[in-house]
Formats: sequence, C-alpha cells, structure tokens
Amino acid sequence: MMNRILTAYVAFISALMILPIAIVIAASINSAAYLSFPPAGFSTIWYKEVLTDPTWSGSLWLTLKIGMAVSMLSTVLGVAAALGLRAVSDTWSAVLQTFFLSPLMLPTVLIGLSLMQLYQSLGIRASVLTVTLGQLLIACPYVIRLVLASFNGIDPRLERAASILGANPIRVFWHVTFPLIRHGVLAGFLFSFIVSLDDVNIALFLSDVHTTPLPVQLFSYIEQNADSLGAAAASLLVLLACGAVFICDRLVGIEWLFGAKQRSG
Amino acid sequence: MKLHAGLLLVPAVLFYAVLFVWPLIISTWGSFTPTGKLSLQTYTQFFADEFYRSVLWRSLRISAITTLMTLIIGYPIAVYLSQSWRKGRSLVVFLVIAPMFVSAVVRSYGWIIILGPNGLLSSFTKAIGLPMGHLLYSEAGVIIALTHVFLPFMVIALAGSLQQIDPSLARAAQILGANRFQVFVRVILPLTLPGISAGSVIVFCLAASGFVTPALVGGAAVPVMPYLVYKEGLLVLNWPFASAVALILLAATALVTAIYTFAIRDAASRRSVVR
Repeated sequence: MMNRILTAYVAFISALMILPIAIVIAASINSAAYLSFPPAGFSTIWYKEVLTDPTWSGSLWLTLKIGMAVSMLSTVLGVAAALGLRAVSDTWSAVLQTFFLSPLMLPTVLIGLSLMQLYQSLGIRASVLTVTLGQLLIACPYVIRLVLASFNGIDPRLERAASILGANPIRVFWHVTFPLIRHGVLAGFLFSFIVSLDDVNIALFLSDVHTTPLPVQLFSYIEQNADSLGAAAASLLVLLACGAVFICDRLVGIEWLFGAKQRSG
Repeated sequence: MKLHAGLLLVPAVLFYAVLFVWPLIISTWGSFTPTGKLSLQTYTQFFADEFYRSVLWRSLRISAITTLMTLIIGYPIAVYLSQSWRKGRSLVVFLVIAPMFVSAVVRSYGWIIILGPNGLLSSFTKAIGLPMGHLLYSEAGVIIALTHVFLPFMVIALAGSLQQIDPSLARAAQILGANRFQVFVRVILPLTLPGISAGSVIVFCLAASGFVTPALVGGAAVPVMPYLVYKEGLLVLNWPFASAVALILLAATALVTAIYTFAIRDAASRRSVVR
C-alpha cells in the first residue's frame, strides 16, 4: 500500500517536472502564432523563422561560439589548476580550492555587475571575449572539481614509474595522466558548455545589442511577448542542452554531470 | 632547470585575481564611495526606504518557502531513488534530475504558459468549475517556478545522504519494536540531517540569487534583490547602489545559512539516537 502511494507520487512529480519543458516544445510546433489550447495545427514555420531571422540566428551562432570558447578555455585553465593543486601542500591545496570554487558561492548578478564595472573603467567594449571571460568564472570551478575528483582513483606510482623510465613531464601527462583523467576532463568540457548555455545573469551585464547570446535574447523577448516564435527559440536551447547531456552520457556516463552539480553548493 | 608543477596554478590564479577579485574590490569600494568620498550613504538609503526593505524581506521569504517546498516534495523522491530495487529508478532519475540542465529561461517560459491568464492552470480550474485567477506575476507563481527549478538539487543532496544509511539500522529498530513511523522519525530522519542541511543551503542560496525566474514569472510586480541589482545596474545605471544591493543580498544569505547550518548541527547532536 505505502509502496503504491510512493510510486504514484513519484510518477506524478516526474510528470510535473517535465511538463513545463514539454509544453514549450508543444507550443513551438503550433501553427498559430499565439499559444492556444488545443493547438491549431502542426507546423515547423517558427523554427524556420528563428533560423533565418538575422537577430535570432545571429545570437544562436554567437551562443555556440561562446559556449565552445568557454568550454575550451575553462578546460585548459581547470586541468592546469587541478594538476598544480596536486603538487602543492595539503593546506595550500585546500585554501586554493576554496578560492577557485568561490565564484559559485556569490550571486551571479554580483559577478556580472562587478565585471561590467571593471570593463567600463578600462574602456573595454562588449564583445564575444567579454562574455566568454565572464562565463569562464562560473565554468572553471566545475572543471577543477571534476578533474580533481577523477584524480582520486589514480595510483601516483604509475606516473612515477613512467618518469623513472625516462619519460619527460609532458610525455608522462600525455601518455599516463591524461588517459586516466580523461573522463573528468570530458565531463568538465561538456559541463562548461551547459553552464554557458544556461547563463543569463552574467551575459546580461556583459553583452550589448551586437553580442547578445541566445539565452539573453530569449530572456528579453519573453519579457515582452510569449508566442510560438519564442517557444521555437527556447526549444533549440533545450535541443543543445540535450545534445551536450547525450554526448556526456555516451562518452563518460551521465553520473559525472550529476556529481558536478551536487558539489556546486 | 626543473620546473615545479605548482607553477601550473599561475594562469588560473592570475585569471581569478584580475577578473574576479579585482572587480569585486572595485564594486565593493564603489558601494562605499557613491560620491567619491567614503560614506555609508548607499546602505542607509537602502535600509531607510520601506520599499527596499520589503524587497530584501521578499527575497528571503521566497527563498525560504522554496527551500521548504523542495524539501517536502523532494524527500519522498529521494527515498524512492535510494531504494535500489525500484525498477523505474533510471527513468525517474532522468525525469526529475535532467531538467536542471535545461536553461532556467526555458523552464520559466513553460511556467508562464501554464500559469498565464489563458494558461493551462486557469483553463483547467475553469473546466472543473472552480475558476480562480491566474498566478502569473504573483509571489505564489514565482515560488512554484523556483521549486521546479531547484528541486533536482535538493533530491540529489537528500538521495546522497539516504544512500549512506546502513539498511540494517532500520531493521534493528524494527526488531526492537519500532513501527515504520518511529523508524523514520527516530532513525532515518536524524541520519539525513546533513543531507537536509546541505540541500537546504544550496537551494536557499541559489533561489535568493536567482534572477531569471522571478524576473520572468514575477516581473516588476514581484521585485526581488537580483531584480533590483539588474534594474539599478543596467537601467538606472546607479552602480554604487546596485553594488550595495548585491552585497546586502550576499551578507543576508550568508547570515541565514550560517544560522540554519548551526541550528541543524545542534539538532543533529541532540536528537540523533544513532551516531
């Protein structure tokens, strides 16, 4: 009896969790411009509109560019930092880890606001780079965490053995360390992409009309009008996130992503 | 010359110093020097005005209720997920946890469609003969949407601590004559206090600093602290005041989570039967 109630409850909440996302996708393939129940008919016209309109397609393209840049830079910075953390004493490692994770503990609007003030004081104009550098601050902590977690299971003697046998540090990293931590690195890379795809708070402060990523563009659009065009743009964002999660699931297992979010507090 | 591997930390430390620490110093300093001279003007302006105080209070209230909602709704789900014999486990993981990878803009949009004037909810209540107003641009609507956005974080934290419980403890309590309710209240619940504490802190902080969901579902009718930061920083262009608002938000959430964590730790040390 208790079991059945629990199962029914979990099924109900699961359905509620998916409902808001499903309803956006349903709205995006509605042939009517405004949301109507029941839907007027099936149509892909809104997707065509988003992909051909220069403002929408421009911001979609920009989002992909910024997402890739954030992923690559945060992976390089994060892997280097994680390798460095292994080499210093435990006390320093703990202090620096807290320091590296601290951007996640601040309100993101504060990070966006203060970076905007820095850029303004230096006379730097909004560009792909300003948004990328801002989002790096909230992507890098995840990479560092994920890579550090993947170091945990590694026997340090493997690396020592390789260097005793004459491999230089770069060869040790490339042939021994990297293959052992590549799951963490890959998960960090994909997670950074999702973080960038999800970010509005920082990008809102650091972008201008010419450098608006899709989430920010969509945010401003939805504030004014809730229509099927906005739903199509939103569905494209869902598709991109699903793509990143799917690739992660295939390559390293989805539990890596859950692990990253869990430690985000 | 042999290079120390610790040097690999240099790029990240430099990056953080220039793009994280320095900007924070600039905006903190700016909030104390609104007219060029050192003063508390922005802070007194905030606390003297009843509207601003009400915004801070609303932010804390919405976050606290959201935290409580995710805890109550999430606990049974975490129990379900921690029972490894359940057949539908991976499907539930997908349905409940995966939405957190979908942008908050998209999920808020879904709630706008559901809660709006001609939305799913008001059509439904009209159809069953219990017409009620719509919840868009109301505090209740914002809390519903935030609960949806942050439920996965709570479930993950709770499931993590439920999984660590040795199942033989519950069996031992049952053998000693405890009924299911007593097992839950006296054994399981105290053992999951660390998970409850961690999950609550995460959800509270994220809900208090969340901007997209309150801005879209609540709009100008339900102003919260991050909305104020956005308005003062990007529309009014009063940066000293915007920085002050953000720092007050940070201080308030830090204070609340510190008190909460302390209270939970205290309760855990006094209530727990099993150590």
